[in-house]
Amino acid sequence: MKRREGLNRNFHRRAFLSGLGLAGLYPFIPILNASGQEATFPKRLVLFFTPHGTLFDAWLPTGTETNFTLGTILQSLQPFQRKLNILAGVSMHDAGVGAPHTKGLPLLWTGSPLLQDMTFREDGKGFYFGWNSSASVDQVIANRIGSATVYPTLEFGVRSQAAVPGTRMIYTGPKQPKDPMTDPAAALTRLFAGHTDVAGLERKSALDLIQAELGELGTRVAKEDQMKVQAHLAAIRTSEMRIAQSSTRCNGPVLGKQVDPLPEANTPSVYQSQMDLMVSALACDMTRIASMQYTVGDIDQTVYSWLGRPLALGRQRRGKQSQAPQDLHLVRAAICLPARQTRLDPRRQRNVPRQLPRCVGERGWQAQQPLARADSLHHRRCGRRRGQDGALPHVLDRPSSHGRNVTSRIPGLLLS
Amino acid sequence: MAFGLVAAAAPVACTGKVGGAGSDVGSGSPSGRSPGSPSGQSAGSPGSSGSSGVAAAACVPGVISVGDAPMQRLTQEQYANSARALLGVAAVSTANLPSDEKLGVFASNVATSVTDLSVDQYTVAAENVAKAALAQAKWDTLVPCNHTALGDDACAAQFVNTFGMRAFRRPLTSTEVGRYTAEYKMFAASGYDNGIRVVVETMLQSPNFLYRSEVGAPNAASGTAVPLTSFELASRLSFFLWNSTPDDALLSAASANSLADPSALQAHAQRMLADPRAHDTIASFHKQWLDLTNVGSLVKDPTTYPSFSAAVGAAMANETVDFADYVLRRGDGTFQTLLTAPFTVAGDALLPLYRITRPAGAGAQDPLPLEAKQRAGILTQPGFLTVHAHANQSAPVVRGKIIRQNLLCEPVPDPPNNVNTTPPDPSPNSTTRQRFAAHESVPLCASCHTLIDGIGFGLESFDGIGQYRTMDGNSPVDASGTFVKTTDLDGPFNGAIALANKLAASPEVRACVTGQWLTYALGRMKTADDGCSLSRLVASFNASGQNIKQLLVDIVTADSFRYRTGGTL
Repeated sequence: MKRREGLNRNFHRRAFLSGLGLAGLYPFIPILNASGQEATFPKRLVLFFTPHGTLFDAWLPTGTETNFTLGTILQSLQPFQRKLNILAGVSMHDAGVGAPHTKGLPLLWTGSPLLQDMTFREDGKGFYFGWNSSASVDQVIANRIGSATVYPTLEFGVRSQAAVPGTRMIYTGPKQPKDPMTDPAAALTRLFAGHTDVAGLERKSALDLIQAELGELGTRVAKEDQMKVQAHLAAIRTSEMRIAQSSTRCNGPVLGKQVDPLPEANTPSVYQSQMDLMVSALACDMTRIASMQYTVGDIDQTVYSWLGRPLALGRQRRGKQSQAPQDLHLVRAAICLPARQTRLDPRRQRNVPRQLPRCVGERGWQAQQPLARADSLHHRRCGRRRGQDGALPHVLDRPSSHGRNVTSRIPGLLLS
Repeated sequence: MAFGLVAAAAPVACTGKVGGAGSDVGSGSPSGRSPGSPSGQSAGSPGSSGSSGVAAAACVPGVISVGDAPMQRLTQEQYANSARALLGVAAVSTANLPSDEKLGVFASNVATSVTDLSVDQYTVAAENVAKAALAQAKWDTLVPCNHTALGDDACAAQFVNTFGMRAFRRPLTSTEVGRYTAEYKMFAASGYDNGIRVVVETMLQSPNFLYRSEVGAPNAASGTAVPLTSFELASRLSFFLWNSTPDDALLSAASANSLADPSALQAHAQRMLADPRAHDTIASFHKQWLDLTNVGSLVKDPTTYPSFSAAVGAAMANETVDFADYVLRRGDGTFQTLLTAPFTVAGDALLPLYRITRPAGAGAQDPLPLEAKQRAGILTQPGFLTVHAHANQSAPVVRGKIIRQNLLCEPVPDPPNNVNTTPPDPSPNSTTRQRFAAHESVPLCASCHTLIDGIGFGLESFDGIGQYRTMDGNSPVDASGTFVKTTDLDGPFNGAIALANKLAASPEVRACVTGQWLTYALGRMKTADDGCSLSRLVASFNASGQNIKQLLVDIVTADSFRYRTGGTL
């Protein structure tokens, strides 16, 4: 028993969290290998996105590159500080077509400009713009290692429905955005509910037949459309491989009451459920590459009603005159976990409430200070003064000796 | 682009105080051209107009010119409406269907591909729809068959042929019939209904259902315009006018190849507009054109607007849709009425907002008279005014912007990256107009805001949820506005009624609306090659006294609707 506890701690600190990149998630141990060796623990990549800037005062560490103190927002990462590389001031520049707030999200993980074509509206400078021009980094990685898991990648999102460049960050290739799953109930069913053998046979029959039809369709349509047919065929093959694998491999989280994922008021609950689902999917090794997209880059009418009072501040973000610039700051506090973060224990199938370091400034439900203060802080210090969209690449599986705090500015870093 | 972090850090505020000069805002006049001059340049090049702004162009005698038409995958609404029509189920949820691409104003899936998530979503949707259909009735209600006389296998073949033609919007090939009857047999061991259920589920996931693929007349030379086949036209008609799959009458007409005749096309269009299913297209168009899709899930400040709720928001969307439906299908059908009518069609939930009671004997779908000095048409309805407003105050900028974009078809640039677009806090001691005064005094802001704010100020008689008001805080409302840099609207006006009448009388607006409807009908962005079709439609729309219903009928015989460009794209 003692030895097991030791293993747990070891596992917790060195393998799981460094691989998963999620700070503050307490240990849960569903897939330790037989000997419990961390050496075989899979590497993982999790990409986060949150829009509209952050409280840099509360987010940025202070100190030097190797000896630093985390800001309040990143406090929950403190136990893993020596594994962290924190980047700030990284800009992405893109001189290509596209309305300024629209092209940030497709640029973020692809490092590529939008295509100049007639797909979408005019960008305000006399050019029409289309979708992105290349794949995002997670999909490139998945092409190399994604076949090791049932899902090469999993995309989660919170209120990110309509498909335009400003709402999509993950791409398998040019013009090929991946919708995130935005409904926790549907995601739970898809990932964990499984199906009976008979239902599996029916699904396989349908997909086999459809593949034959797509083959015929591909010979009839124009060249541009043939690419869509080929992509549909590839998607079916990916999907069909999963039918053979039943649901018994791992249990999902218990999500509680089903909520409509669209209304703004449900955002905290939806985000929590999506986090639980992603963590379970990673823990079950259903995928090793995941992303979490918290709302969208440009269409956002959020007034943060769940905070109780910020409406009085007179903010309603408008869709088409939004805030996400192309001047992206990659690194920010996407990992300011909710105070009501729960520990998933797949063995016991329930969520255990636990305490986490609290953080302020994400305009989230975790605000520790009185809301009025948190709000005014946001407006005074942050607002849209810098207004950067940002995200934190959770590639934290690095040699433990690093622990750098890179705050120098690195202009023009591209991800691909 | 050379600006860097240091430069980008300088904030600009076009609301209230101005904090300094930015660096990425030197693009000068929006869109790099003289705003207001409809572009005659080819689409896609610098200087071309906005989402629906491809200009009308002169027609070349003897030449049929149409834009490229990519294959479309059904939108969420089209999937749900089609499944409902095919299976007779009450309602089909769009909640977990693959999300739609939004091209400019309207949803249409033309560019992106299906992903493995979409495949899974289509599977689940098809299973749910088929099970719901089977739970309420037997398959024989959809395709009657005498099982005793013919036997199950023959009935299954009949089902595959008949239902398959409805689902695929064309007759099935013998290969296809063979595949589906084989699939039926594989699952018929547990009964006819079960075997057919799997067939239905498969057909609802089939590319022949999900995609609207068009080939046109066979053996066409690449790059030349070729007429669509009758079945392809039947689909275009039904998805345009019903936002749904063709009915048996259309498929019969296609089987008889009678839709090649333009007068037959128009007769079907008339028939379809008289059918209640036309409501789905009228709803879809107006919700997207006026950006009303989210009005039911908007959040408003409960202190400022205690009467607003999700139910009231939903009633607002219904009002605009029902009003448009009334004007187009029961009223005089004119754009003039749509924009200036002193009546609405509203549910009970909106009566307190209007501060009126329903006349005795009038129903919720009857015209409801409004105070003609306060309200005029669709832009003065609470739905439009509420979506295009902030949570706790009106939003002249936002209202002006959408009118300029979607009714004038003039692109308006997004605000620069480093501008603080947070609206100033409301105060009883200042009017909304005063709070946005910096827009005019700061040249940087004025370059764009003079294009939009002056339009939006005309709607200042309405607050953030569309309630009529004479006071804004402690001051009387000033609803004077002005148009600048337009083709034919330039000049001052005073108030919403004048604004509505000005818009209704403008050829520029009529051309824009014609283009919006053509874009909706085609499900794709127009190109310069659609210019001839557009110019003819603009002319006929003007000649008909701005009759929208007639416009829809005329669209179905336009070249861009009846032809496609042959060969590879």
